[in-house]
Amino acid sequence: MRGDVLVIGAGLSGATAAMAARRAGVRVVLAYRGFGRTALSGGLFALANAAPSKIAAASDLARAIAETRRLHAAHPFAVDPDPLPLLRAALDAWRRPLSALYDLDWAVAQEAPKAYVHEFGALCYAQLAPRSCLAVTTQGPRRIGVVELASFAPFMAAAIARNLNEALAENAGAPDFVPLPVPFAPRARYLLPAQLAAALDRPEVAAALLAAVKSALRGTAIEALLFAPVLGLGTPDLARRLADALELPVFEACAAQNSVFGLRLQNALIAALHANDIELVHESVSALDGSSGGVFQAAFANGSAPLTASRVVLATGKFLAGGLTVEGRMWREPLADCPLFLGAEPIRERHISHLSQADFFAAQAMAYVGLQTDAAGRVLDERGRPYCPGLFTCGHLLGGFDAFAGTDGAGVDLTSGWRAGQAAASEAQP
Amino acid sequence: MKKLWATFLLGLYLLRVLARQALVLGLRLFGYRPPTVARHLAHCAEDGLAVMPREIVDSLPALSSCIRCGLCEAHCPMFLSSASLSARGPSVLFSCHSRGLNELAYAQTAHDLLRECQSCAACLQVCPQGLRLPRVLRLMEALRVPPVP
Repeated sequence: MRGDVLVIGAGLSGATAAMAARRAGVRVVLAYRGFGRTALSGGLFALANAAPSKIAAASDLARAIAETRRLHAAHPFAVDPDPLPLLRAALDAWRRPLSALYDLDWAVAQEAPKAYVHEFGALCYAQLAPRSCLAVTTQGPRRIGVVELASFAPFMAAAIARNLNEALAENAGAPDFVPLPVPFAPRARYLLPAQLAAALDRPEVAAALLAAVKSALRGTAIEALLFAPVLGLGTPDLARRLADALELPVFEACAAQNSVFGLRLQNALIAALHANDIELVHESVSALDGSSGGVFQAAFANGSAPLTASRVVLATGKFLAGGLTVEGRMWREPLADCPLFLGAEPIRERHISHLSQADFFAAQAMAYVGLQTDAAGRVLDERGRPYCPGLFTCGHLLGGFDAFAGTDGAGVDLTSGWRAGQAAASEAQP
Repeated sequence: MKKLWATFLLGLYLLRVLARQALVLGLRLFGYRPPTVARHLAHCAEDGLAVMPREIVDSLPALSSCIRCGLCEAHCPMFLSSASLSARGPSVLFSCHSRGLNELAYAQTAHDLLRECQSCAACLQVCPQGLRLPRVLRLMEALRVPPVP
């Protein structure tokens, strides 16, 4: 098999790189092993500096990016002269394919991060979120019922409503949250949101939920409903259908990790790649050989025929997805043995335990480990020259930003993916 | 004289405390629970919380140093071989763990995971925090409780 550009990894950055390269008119093959950080994320698009403590300092997107560039010289945003147009191009490219789940409006993305209701009763901040998430405003519904399903224990409505009311107590005009127990137990108890969401994909289960909610709502003055993030896995419009049937706005709380939103986003990305004539190979790439001058050979773990491509984009993620591994207690990039950096400083022979601290809330240096690139997304070596001609990278594999904090992950994925895909395609053209 | 008196009083007090402790410990051997504990347990049950056994409580400080980097999941042969469990297990386990044991009872995925772990210690090799994950997994397997009615 042959492609002009081979992208390894199907997360948000890999999919963005593949779309950018496909737009440039080259043949793109995308190989992926399984679901990584994107599928396990909360599905929020935190584009830049969306941490709540930073909101006062960095109000809009342009200012947040400028601040990040000023403070962190090795941040992926600082590599490119201006990341904003890249971000806009990537968001525009995803707007139609993801329109069932998100409204990726550039004007909204440029505003300050908005506060969304989280499944633990806290608020989380992001520039863009799934359509069904509830952003706290003073204009919305006044009395919101937090639905506690008898079959789904992790969503504890009473505690969530109490937490939210306490958090919003000082804001005049903020909505009031009341718990609403719903005796809905289709068959089993669920712990994973994805299990209940998959069950709710079946029409008869969804109908049972609707009937149970209807009877629970009788005689209450509730103006909107807040569900756990479980309203359908393959049919994400269950929230809208419930809203139509109940004649109430229906929201889902946003989720931190292992969420249904992440799975929906990943499925939508895969579907969009299919629709754009990008060849998908669901295999684990075990080795990448780029020694024979401008032609890469990718070998697969299961022994199927190797794939050749003139340009490769590594979007293999970081720790969870296996893009950065540990061998003999040392960091290693397993496919091409790329040089690794801690921020801007090259690291060689560093023991992994030197980069982490026992305190969960402390800054973890290991989050900043990764690859460094030039403005086109080429992998650089320790002397700042391209490490291997034709090798690009993007997404979480990049170093220099906090991969754990979740305040700019989607922004890095989109800008670096778009940049690497475009550059790889322009080099691959004959 | 004053000093002697103070020493005597202090000794009397210590003796009383020790005697009380010895009495409670002795009674505990025969299954006695001080009323404070019973009251605490009743409150826990009202709030829907299960009581964590001592071994779990002792393992909590070690677990709380997990920084959710995901390296263990990327290196676990069990995760890599099974698509259904892929990159879900430890996170689910930790959430069960931190939210009380009741939920562990019906966490089917966590249950499967616990049974399938072969203690190959691949996770031990990569954990930057040096967590003893196989030991924690075995402990949690031993502590599974029957489902809540």
